[in-house]
Amino acid sequence: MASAEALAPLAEPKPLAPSRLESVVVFVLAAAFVALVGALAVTQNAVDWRALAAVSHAVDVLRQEDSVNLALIGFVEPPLPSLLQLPFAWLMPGLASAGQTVWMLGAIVAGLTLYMLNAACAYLGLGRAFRWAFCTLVLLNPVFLGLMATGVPDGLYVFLLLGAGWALLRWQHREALRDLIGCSLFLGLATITRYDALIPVIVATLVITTQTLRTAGRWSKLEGTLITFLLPIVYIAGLWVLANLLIMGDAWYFWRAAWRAEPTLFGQVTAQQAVVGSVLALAPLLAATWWAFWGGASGRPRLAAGPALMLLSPAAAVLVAPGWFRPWLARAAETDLPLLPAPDLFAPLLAATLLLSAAALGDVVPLFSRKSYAKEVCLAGGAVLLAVGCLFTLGGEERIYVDPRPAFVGLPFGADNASATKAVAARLQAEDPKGTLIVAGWPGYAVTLYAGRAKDKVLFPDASPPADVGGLHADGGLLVRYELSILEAGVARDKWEKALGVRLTYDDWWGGGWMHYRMEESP
Amino acid sequence: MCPPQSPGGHTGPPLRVGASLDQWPPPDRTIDLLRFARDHPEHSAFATLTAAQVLALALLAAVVTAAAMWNWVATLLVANAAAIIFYLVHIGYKFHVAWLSLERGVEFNPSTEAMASIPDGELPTYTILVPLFHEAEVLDRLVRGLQALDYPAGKLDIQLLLEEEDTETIAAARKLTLPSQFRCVVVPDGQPRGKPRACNYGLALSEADLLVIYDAEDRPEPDQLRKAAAAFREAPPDIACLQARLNYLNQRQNLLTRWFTQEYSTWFDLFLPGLTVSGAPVPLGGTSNHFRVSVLKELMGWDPFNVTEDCDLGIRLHARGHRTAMLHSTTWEEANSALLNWIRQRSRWAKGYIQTYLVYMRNPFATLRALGLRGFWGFQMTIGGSIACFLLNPIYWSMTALWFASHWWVISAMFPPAIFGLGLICGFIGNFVFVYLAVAGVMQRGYHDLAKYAVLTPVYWLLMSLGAYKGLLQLFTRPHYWEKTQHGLFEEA
Repeated sequence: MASAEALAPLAEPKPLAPSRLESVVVFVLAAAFVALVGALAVTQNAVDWRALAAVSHAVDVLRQEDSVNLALIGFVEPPLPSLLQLPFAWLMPGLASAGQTVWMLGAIVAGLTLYMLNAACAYLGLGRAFRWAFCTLVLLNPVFLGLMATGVPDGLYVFLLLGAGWALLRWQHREALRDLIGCSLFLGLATITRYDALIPVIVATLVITTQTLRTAGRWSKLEGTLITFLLPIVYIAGLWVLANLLIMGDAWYFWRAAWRAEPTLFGQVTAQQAVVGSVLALAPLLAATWWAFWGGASGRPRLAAGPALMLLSPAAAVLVAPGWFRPWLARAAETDLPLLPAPDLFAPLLAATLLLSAAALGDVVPLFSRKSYAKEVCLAGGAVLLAVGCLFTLGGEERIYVDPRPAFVGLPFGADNASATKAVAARLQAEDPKGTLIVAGWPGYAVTLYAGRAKDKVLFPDASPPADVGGLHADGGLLVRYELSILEAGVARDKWEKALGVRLTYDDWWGGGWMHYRMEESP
Repeated sequence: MCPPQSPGGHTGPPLRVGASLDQWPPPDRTIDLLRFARDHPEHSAFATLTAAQVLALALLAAVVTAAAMWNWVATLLVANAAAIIFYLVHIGYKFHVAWLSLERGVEFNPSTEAMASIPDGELPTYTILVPLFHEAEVLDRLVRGLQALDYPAGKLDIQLLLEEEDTETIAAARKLTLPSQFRCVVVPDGQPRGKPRACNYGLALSEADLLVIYDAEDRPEPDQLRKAAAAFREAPPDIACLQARLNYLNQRQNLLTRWFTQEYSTWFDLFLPGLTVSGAPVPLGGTSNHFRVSVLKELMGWDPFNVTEDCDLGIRLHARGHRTAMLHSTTWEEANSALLNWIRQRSRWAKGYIQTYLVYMRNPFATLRALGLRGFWGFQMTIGGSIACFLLNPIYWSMTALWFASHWWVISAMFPPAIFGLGLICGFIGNFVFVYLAVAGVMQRGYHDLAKYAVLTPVYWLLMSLGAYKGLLQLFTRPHYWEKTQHGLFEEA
């Protein structure tokens, strides 16, 4: 348009950025790789139940009633993953019912994450060779690959936190409005992806407040900056609260529901315990992050490297060796301490680690740049260490390292096995009950999703009968119920018979913990 | 008092006419101020609607009536679906353009060194047009403000354009002792009376290289002319116009001026820079647009029948292959602080936007060819889309209120699930986007304390819709009437 002197950008000079072609290539390669692993995982019946819940809600919105009903989005799980599954479920109902769309969304999110990470690395001054090496290691990280390939909402959370962190980092450097808005939008979406996104929101607010007061020292600027930052977050979260009020009759329904006890690998754990555990575990991590950002904002960016590196070691340890923490988790469960939900920690840890790794390396590498080969040696050494850390970190129990290789045969890290659920669903497909089809227990939604029973079913998350179950048209119906223990099966059947007012006849098929009963009129 | 003197490098007649009464030239009635409208009636707003447009609208009305008679609920549903899809597209476009501005918004911003590197003798000659109509009370302040401009007096030709019938302002002007770079120009009386006609007169008298328009209450930044001159020197030849940012002196006078400031900040600091990046035509602001005089004369100046002649000219520039860019300099104006006065001004803007839209939609294919696909799309969204929003908004607000009050079945029937879903996106995301753009606008401008007032912006939209409906009605009753905005309501202005 004109010479560089005459045409000044509104903000600071344009930072380093990868070329458009490079960005597209990174996105496509990452998405294709994750899609391949994800598709393979589905053929091996490897699933993440929360990812499948999002698909199930999307299918319910589109198909449970004669017309689309957003009120069926589900009000316990955060809604964004389900909303993002809506187009897939609409365009590919068959694939959605088979649980195939989880990896499709996961692949896109993985592509975007790597795209952003590559751009963040470039912004922080890392060369292309190193960026690609770093991105490859991240892609091969078993935790990252597991989250993305199984389409678990935490993968989306990683992407959103990474985006927010990167935007915040840039905002600290140049205080451009678009970075503040970007950070806000990412965090706003994060609040409806996982409720504990409130914690990074608080951290970011502290960072922004600190920097604004330090650089401007005026209340009016702080006021405007905080309004700009918090408005989208409050609005997005507020919409979710409003939806709860209008549809469920309780503005805080999602929160109360999330406090219910749910069966987990470690026994009954309430979300209250999970949240407390999560907060306790995240607080030091996020405090360190804040410190790192604050160091970066102090005008001496290399100071950020210290806190960032301090942060990296524990974060990386949890990331690469979740096995380490398993015994501790088990002990915590036995002693009724607030339970640390390790899988919930992966996402924020991963996002913080990726960003701060890039930041730290970007800070550290220039220190060696004057020495011949020192930079390359440093980078190569770091890359080897990271690779070794990923592959051969010692773990607890029988696991000696988190092996990424199972992912390549369709068993990504963290995935559960859905064989039994699919078998039950296949049997259910052949049934045509005259009465109501009741599916009780978790994850009943997966049974009905696989069976293509979006319409004519009633789902109860608990295996025990709720108080208001009596109104259902039970006679001639079916009850598919998850038995936590075979010993309690008889007691549970009595409870259901009493609640429904019918006689339950055990059928001859079952799969995993799922038992199948026919409901007949009481004699 | 005013020795005729040619500025450096200027070979034409003296630019400076001087200020003493006897030196005022009589109005030159031989200048054809309506030349553009005469030579290019197809691009003039002289006729509001062409016969073909009347026919097309009649046909549309007939189709809608027939459809309504066949099934009026289904007709409403289709209209509703079309409106909601339009809203979604418009919201997306506005956000995209604003984001472009934040991401790579560029404007001409020559450094102090670059400006200083041009010797005074090499600066281009500059005409400043100041159309005045019943502005006697601000005249003194105006002259002082223009005198503060940092530009060699010998290179300036400041024309105070006085309407022949405005004896009050002429009398006030006669009392002034004007420096030599000023001249009072009496515009011969005629119709349609208004700013574009006066500017055409001033343009005809101009023999400068560059030209800028300022309103009576304007206070341009002192280095604006030097900046524009340096920018034009650097700019490629297809940049024919540099639009400086406009903003207000009295941002915090009352709630109305706060909202108005938000709107201007968003428009000039976010939206217009985004438009220049997107390759769409730029609807110029009423003042502080700096032109190459040769291009302006080639385009025959302003359409005197269009009450937003600036907007029309911006589109015409683009259609003729020229471009507009933003200049990093602010002109301070007085925000309209009185509600009725504000609505009058707004109704004129709305009327002018509709006029401009109708003019360029007389032959949409020709407009598409002239503007290009991106330009045409930008024109639809910026000119047509903005007005459509203001006109549609009250309908949807009323429908929402009616539904909550009565749960009328017709409204439910207009919103089957898919449309309802899209409507929800419009309602919840669209409204938020516009509120948030208002916040972003004031933050970009640095008015941090005004951010909180953005939350109340929807009330301001109601006022904008009022103005739009007034403008729409007036388009059919007094299409060329110039709703005069009263200035001087702010004491310090």
